[in-house]
Amino acid sequence: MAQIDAFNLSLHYPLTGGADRDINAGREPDSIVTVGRKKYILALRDVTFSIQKGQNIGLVGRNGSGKSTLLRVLGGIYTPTSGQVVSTGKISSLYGMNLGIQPDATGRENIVFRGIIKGWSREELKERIPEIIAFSELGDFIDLPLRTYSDGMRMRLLFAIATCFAPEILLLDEWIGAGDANFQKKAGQRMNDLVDEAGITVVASHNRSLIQNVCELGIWLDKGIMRAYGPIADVYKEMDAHFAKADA
Amino acid sequence: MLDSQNYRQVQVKQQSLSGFSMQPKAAFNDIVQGALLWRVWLSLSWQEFVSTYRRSLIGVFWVMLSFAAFVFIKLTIFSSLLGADDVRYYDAYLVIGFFMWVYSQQVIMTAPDTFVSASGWIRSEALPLSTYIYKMVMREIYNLLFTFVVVIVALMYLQYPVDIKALYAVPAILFLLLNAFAIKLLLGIIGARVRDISHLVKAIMLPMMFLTPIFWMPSQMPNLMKVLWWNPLFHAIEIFRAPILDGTFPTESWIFMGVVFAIVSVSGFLLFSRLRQRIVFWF
Repeated sequence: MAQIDAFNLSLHYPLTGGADRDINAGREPDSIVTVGRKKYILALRDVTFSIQKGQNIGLVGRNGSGKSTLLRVLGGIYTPTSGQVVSTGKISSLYGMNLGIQPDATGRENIVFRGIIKGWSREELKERIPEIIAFSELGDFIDLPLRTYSDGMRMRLLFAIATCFAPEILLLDEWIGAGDANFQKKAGQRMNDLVDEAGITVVASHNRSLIQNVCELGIWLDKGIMRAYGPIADVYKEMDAHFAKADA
Repeated sequence: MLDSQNYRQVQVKQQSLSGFSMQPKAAFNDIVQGALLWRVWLSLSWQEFVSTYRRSLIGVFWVMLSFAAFVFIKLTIFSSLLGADDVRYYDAYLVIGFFMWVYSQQVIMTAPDTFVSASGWIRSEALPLSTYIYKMVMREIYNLLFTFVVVIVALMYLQYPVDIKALYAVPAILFLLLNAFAIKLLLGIIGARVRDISHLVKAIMLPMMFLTPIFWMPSQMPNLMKVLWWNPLFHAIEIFRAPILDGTFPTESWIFMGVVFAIVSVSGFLLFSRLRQRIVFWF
């Protein structure tokens, strides 16, 4: 029974490694704060929402609006500076195609690593591997190192791994960039299946047609502030109106 | 709808960062939970170890071969150069000491990269951070085991008499593994935050090879040893070398290493208690 509740989430992203010196250039000054001697980006500000089972949520907003940060907070990677997330359900996430992989290992080995991390037993692994290979349509490539894969192939494999074990909560960050139309359709279908089984999917993407196809609900983030939350069409309408005014 | 101007007055206070205070219990939990994920760090470390030699003809045996070649050249050059009285004793001294040196050097030089080299995993999987420390310690154990084969072969070739008291080297090696974990915890955190540390450590370790008695014996340079006695690497090597070489238990070196371990592990743990949740933001 999946459920995600976020209460007053705020995240101060520390600026380190020389970024603190020149970050002010080109950024809105009101998204940077200084606490003590340190500078932080206000990556999320007081975000509150509640996602129920069977909902597909699209995270929308411009670059640097906090979409990826929010997904990482939901996945337990980032600890918020204040507020909290209460979620119920097995989480599976896909934050990027270059993260959480061993490029020198084969596709098959990478399935095993991911499976072990998720705590699958030997038997479950044995059972899942053929299924993942079939869904990713990689064929013989599965026994070649991941670094030889194209973006599309890598995406197909990672998506297949992330979704094969019927996760109750699926977090996807800009995953659809690669992959052909055929696979996109298949992936969209799998996401819908997941939601039909009372799961939750949260997708961050700039691809409007994808979001509109798979998500009924949307969250619009702008400089870390949740500006709109509701039916996806309304969220886009509000966002477009805002930026039309702002850019004019 | 939130207004960003009003928001700043409400939210931007010192207390809002209180989520990052000292959390020793959570830090301890991380270290325990990481250990329980042995399947993860065993498989990842083995894959990384093997993939270094993948596509090469003799594969992982390069570890042994390169170490053996080094040992052989050192033996032929140094044992005649230094004109040691007992050549066999000196050769065994060099082989065992150099074996421990190679391991210690590797442990320390890779320590600042413990978390940096795992950043892709840290940024995508909510695993205990200690998992990546175990992974690195494990990976270096593989190297240790392969090179140890060369040590055994060399000692047999030298027909060096080894006493039953050589078994004191077993607790020594286990203790050094514990030390490796502590060093990686401490330097891993510092090295992730301050990237100069990785370069600094590498710069220090090169001259340390000559400042640690591996090629020369403390008895040959008594004056220098008064200063170099404070070199922890000497004691790290000594607790392993002395039992095999002389059949003795080097109490002094064990105490020294005990103090080193206490300092490193306590400071590493305190840093970890404070910064564990922040490390992910440093990549």
